[in-house]
Amino acid sequence: MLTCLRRIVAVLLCLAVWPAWSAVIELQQAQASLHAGAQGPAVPVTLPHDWQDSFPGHSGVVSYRLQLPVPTDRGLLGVYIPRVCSNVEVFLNGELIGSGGRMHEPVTRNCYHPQLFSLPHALLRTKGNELRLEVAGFATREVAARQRAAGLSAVLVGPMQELQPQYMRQLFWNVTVAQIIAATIGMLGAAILGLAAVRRKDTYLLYFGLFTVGWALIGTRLFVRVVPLDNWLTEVLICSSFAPVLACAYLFLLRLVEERHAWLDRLLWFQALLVPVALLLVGHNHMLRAASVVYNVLAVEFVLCVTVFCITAWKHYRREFWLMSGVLALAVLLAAIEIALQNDWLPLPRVHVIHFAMPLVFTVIGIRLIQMFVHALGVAETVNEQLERRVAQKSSEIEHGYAELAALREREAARQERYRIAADLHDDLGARLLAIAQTAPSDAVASMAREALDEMRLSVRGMTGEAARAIDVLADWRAETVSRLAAAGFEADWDAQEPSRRLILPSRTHVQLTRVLREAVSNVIRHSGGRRCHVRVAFEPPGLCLTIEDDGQGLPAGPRPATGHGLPNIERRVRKLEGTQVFSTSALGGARLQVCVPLETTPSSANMPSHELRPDR
Amino acid sequence: MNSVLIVEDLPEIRTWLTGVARLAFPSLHVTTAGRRDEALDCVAREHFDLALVDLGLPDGSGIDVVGALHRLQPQALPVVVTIFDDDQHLFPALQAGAFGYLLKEQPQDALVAQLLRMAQGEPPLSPPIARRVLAHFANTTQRQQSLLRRTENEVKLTERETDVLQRVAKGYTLPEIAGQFGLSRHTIADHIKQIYRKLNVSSRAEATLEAARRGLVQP
Repeated sequence: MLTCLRRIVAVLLCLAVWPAWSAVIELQQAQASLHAGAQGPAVPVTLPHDWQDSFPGHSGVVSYRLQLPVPTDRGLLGVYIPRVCSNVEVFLNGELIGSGGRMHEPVTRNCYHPQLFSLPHALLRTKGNELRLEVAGFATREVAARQRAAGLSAVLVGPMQELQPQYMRQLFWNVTVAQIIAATIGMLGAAILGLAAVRRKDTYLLYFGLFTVGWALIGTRLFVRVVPLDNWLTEVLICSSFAPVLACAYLFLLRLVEERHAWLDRLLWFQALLVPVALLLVGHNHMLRAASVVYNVLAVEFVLCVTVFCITAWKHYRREFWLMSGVLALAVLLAAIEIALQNDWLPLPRVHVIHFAMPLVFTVIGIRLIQMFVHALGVAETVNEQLERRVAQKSSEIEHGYAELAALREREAARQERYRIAADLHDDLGARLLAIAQTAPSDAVASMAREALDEMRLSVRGMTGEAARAIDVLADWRAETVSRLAAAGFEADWDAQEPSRRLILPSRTHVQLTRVLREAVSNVIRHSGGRRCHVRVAFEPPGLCLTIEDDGQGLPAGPRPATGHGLPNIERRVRKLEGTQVFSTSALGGARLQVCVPLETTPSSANMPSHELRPDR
Repeated sequence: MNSVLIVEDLPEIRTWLTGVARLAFPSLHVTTAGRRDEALDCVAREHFDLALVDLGLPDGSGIDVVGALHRLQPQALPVVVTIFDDDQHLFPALQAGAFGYLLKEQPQDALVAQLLRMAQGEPPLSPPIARRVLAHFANTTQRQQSLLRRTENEVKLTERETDVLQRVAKGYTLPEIAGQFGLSRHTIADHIKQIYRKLNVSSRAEATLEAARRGLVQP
């Protein structure tokens, strides 16, 4: 039992001691020299090492010499450098074993790119191995961001199989993720720009698209290593690109809440031009300071813009407020971290949060914009459908209306023609008949002319199709009768039942009864010799009864009244209307004439209930 | 009443009308015309107190003569003389400025009496014409509310004028209406003259409106 335990402990000890070289070792001590090949005087430094600490203002190459312990492992060995800025060449015992790219301008930009090289066993000595790292880089003051200031992290040496995963991990987070993000938000931006192209009025889509695509392009600085420009121009380019891209962001936010100011647009684009000019003018040695000023100004602008957005959104677009202000708060936080890093208030982290958090901001805003777009599309479709339905309805109405119009026009043409014939009859036939009636030497001729006139008038009325409302006919009768009797010095007593407002008198009944009434009243005036005349009109189913009586001398004795009294005319007219007439003696003392005629059911009164024909008193 | 213009194309009727006019006003100077152009010449040349105008003339409508007389000799009484009391002919004549109308088929004594009443300033108004005037102003008011709201010469009937028209439309005679209102015949006659004047003004307003709508006149 005890021996067994001792054996286990021994194995564990073995495992613990064995890896002097089987495990990864971290080299933290180096001799740094400003002369290539480490020929000149060297200073001892501790890794990770920033040039700013030992060689402030130096740009070019620094040579690091590191003592490499004797490896015991016979497996594949490697040297892993998590960060070296900008580029490195690695020598083992004086022999070049790896290079990150060009060491002279334009220097390969490996600041975000980890390096892994293999250590060939053939070059390893049994003791006194030396690892020399030639690092090309630029002084802090010459770069636009501290992340790109020259420096070297700790160097890790060990079995390749253990270094490989660490390298891959660092490469993934620093480079691959940046590539994925740049590609993703680049595509999102392209999609939004596509929407903007079809929605010219919604300019916020255009600005968000430009902002997103611009941000994706700026993101390429993390993985594009070979640029055909020297470091200074590249730094100017990177720093300058923020101004127009952020201008798009500000304009997007303001457009989203309908804040449009032409002067602000002009100011932002002027600033985008000013930044590169200013950076070029200040020159190499003040790049970091100038860039920090630019970043700080942009950050202040961003905060102002977010504030304006939040206030306006709170007032007018409450629905947009919560989501957008949440996302913007995150963006402001990220901007604050970046500004703190830029101004050296925080130590540089190994992984930059802004690279991972910004896509979240973009995605949330992008999804919201697309959602708005889809909603608008849905609304438009609904409106469109309604419009189509209305158009269909209207066109059928128009077709219907057109058919009606055509029919109406036909009827109107026929009516016009009838009116023309009627007018001709009036003017020619009527005028001549009237001339005869007014100028005839004998009453008999005049009477015949008047009858002919009546017949003509009846035909004309039939042609012009003007049916008279009973209520209007009664008013006409009353006016004529009362004024005639009054003019002749009679006391007129008019008593008429009020007919239904919708009751229509047929033309023939209207004309004939008008004539009957006129002749009866003429008789009263000419022959009765009385002073009073009583006219009564009653609507008694199935017809109309007209009673005229006076207080005169009454009917002359004899079987039939004498000619000239108009009585035969009355009789003939009543017969034509299939009515009855009764001559008798009035209670007033004079003559009494009662005429009753049936009222046929005319089309316009056909669907009236029968009581409608009665007087509704 | 010193001079009368009689416009009538049929010689027999012209002679008969001259007789009627002379019966009413014995010392009358009579000028006659058989055509519209002839009548318009007379109106331009001579001064008349009274005109009896037939509507159906060989070369046009007597309404033009009424209009010319109303325009050029506002003190004259243009009276339309027609065969039938067909308000489709009469109403436009009243709108053109006719003071009244005579129906040819009436007995001679009735015509003389009407002429005398008109000479005393009492215009005739029959129920069909009253109904048309009422309908005209009801329509005009509706149209004016939508289109003519801002025009100055908005013509409306007063309540009393509408009352008079409604009673005439029901068949009451002017003396009866005067009695119902407790007013003199003279006052009622004034109301009717006012209605005729408004009819004439409103028809001109309508014509202006129509012209403006067709872009002929800048409103």
